[in-house]
Amino acid sequence: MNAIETRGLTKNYGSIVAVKDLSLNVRQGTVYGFLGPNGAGKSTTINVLMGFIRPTGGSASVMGFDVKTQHYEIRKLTGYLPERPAFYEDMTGKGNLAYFGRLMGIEELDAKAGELIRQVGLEGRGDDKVKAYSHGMRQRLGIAIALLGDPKLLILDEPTTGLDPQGSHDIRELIKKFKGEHVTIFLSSHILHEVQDISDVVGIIKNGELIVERPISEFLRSMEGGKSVIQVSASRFEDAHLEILRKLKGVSSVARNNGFINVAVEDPAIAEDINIALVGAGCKVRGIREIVPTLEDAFLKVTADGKVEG
Amino acid sequence: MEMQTELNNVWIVAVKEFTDNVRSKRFILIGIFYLAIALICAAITVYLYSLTKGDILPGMFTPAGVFSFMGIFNSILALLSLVIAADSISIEKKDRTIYQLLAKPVERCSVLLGKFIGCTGVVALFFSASAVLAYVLTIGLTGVLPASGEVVSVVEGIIGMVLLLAVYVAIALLVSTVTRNTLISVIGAIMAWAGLMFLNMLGNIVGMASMSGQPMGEYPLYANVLKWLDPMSHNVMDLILSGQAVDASGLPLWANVVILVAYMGILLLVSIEIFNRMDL
Repeated sequence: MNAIETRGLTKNYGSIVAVKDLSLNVRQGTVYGFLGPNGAGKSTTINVLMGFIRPTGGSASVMGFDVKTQHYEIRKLTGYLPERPAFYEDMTGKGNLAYFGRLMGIEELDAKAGELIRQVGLEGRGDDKVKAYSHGMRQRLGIAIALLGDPKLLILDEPTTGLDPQGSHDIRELIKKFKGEHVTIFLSSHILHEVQDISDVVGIIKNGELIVERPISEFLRSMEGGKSVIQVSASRFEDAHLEILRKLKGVSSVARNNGFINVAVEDPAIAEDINIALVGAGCKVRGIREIVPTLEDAFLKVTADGKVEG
Repeated sequence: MEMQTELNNVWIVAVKEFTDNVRSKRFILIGIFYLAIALICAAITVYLYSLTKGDILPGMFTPAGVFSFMGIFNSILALLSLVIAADSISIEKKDRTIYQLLAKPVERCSVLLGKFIGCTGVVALFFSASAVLAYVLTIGLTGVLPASGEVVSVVEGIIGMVLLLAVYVAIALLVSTVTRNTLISVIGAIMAWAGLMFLNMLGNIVGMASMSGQPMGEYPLYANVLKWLDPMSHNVMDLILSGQAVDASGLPLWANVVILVAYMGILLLVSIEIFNRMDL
């Protein structure tokens, strides 16, 4: 069973199509990075999954429950951090936790609230009113509220937006901790290195349509036509050196690139053969490394093209 | 959905709504107003009693007479009830706390009913405290003790008035459900209040026009219906305390109570249906 599954999900606002024929598959226990430019339909999708808005067409299920008719069951199993988490400002952090905890029927609420406050790094500030909290503290409290009830699925909408580097790092580490505890995490974020760091699978939405849904490593490799790229630096390259590389087994293409040579290969393990061949031909090799495309490169490419190979 | 869990959720939301209202600055302002009403009505009653007590036959004056003066302020009390409840849902939408709230396993109808109970609790606290204060002051300052059974009638009257004010809370909740802006909610609730008063006036005008030349006649049904649309035309407290069998429209006490309960129920059902179908 998938933790989240949508089939042909569509949401229109009048003539505006916010989400179009969206089919997502989020496997249980994975971290799913949900990406897209502003206005692509990420928050609309999350709002449908949480039952805040009704889909115009298609179907969606969360933890096996239908979003149109079984949102009560969904919310029992799901923790949600909104994009801009809001709280009752005149209540303390613990007061907010206690209120939502009571609504979830949590027993031994004081102990649970204290544990969550400590877990998200708000020790000593739990008894302060929320209106005195910084942005980072609000994000932490939002995560603590999402974690009430030990959810099986966490839906996090931009969890680190606006946080300082330390705050972002802390939140990322917290998410990684839950990843280790087999909680499914659906992470919507603009911060691509964060998604690359945490996620197993990436889904990219553009203009309301899903244009990519693949494991991250596979997706990044697909950006190079399914091949790895070895970059070689040397004091000087002769044309003869390029010819030698072209004749090597497993090399697909060789090209000069800003003083370097980029060698597209089937298997990055061939780097050693490249080194031996070049040195044998009298080339003074300075370095060889595999170029790993970043999620940012890949994201920019697919959101510009609107499609991806492979 | 489990019934017991949802009843518990209704209670949790109601307690929070009540507590938030009691801690708000608005509570102090409205509380001062209610206190002033109690003091003014008690003062007027005691003053009139002191002027006329030689002319009043023994047993003619009762301390419950203070409520006839409080009745003058009924429309304002209705308005205050609207103001108390008008932003209860819309403020959650405006502040975006509705997303946190409805992300938890709680039904939308439980949130709405909890808000209704919480706000009605505040209105009941204000009115009953003010009425009891005015009544006790009148007893203390005139030295006239209530007649047998009067205290029971006063308690029933207070409950009847709270029922009437609860209808206004339900009107405010309906307005709050369909709006996102707290200021617009309050303006909308005030407009609803004015509109209902206008219907009452219109009913009276149409009714009187239809019976020109027959001063003892009755209003036609359509004129009465216009009047009845204004909850204030079902003042059960007046009926209970005056001991009259029927009101000016010819409706008995039980019919007025049924109309108020039905009015409140319909408003709540409409609000719940809208809230359930609404995209946040």
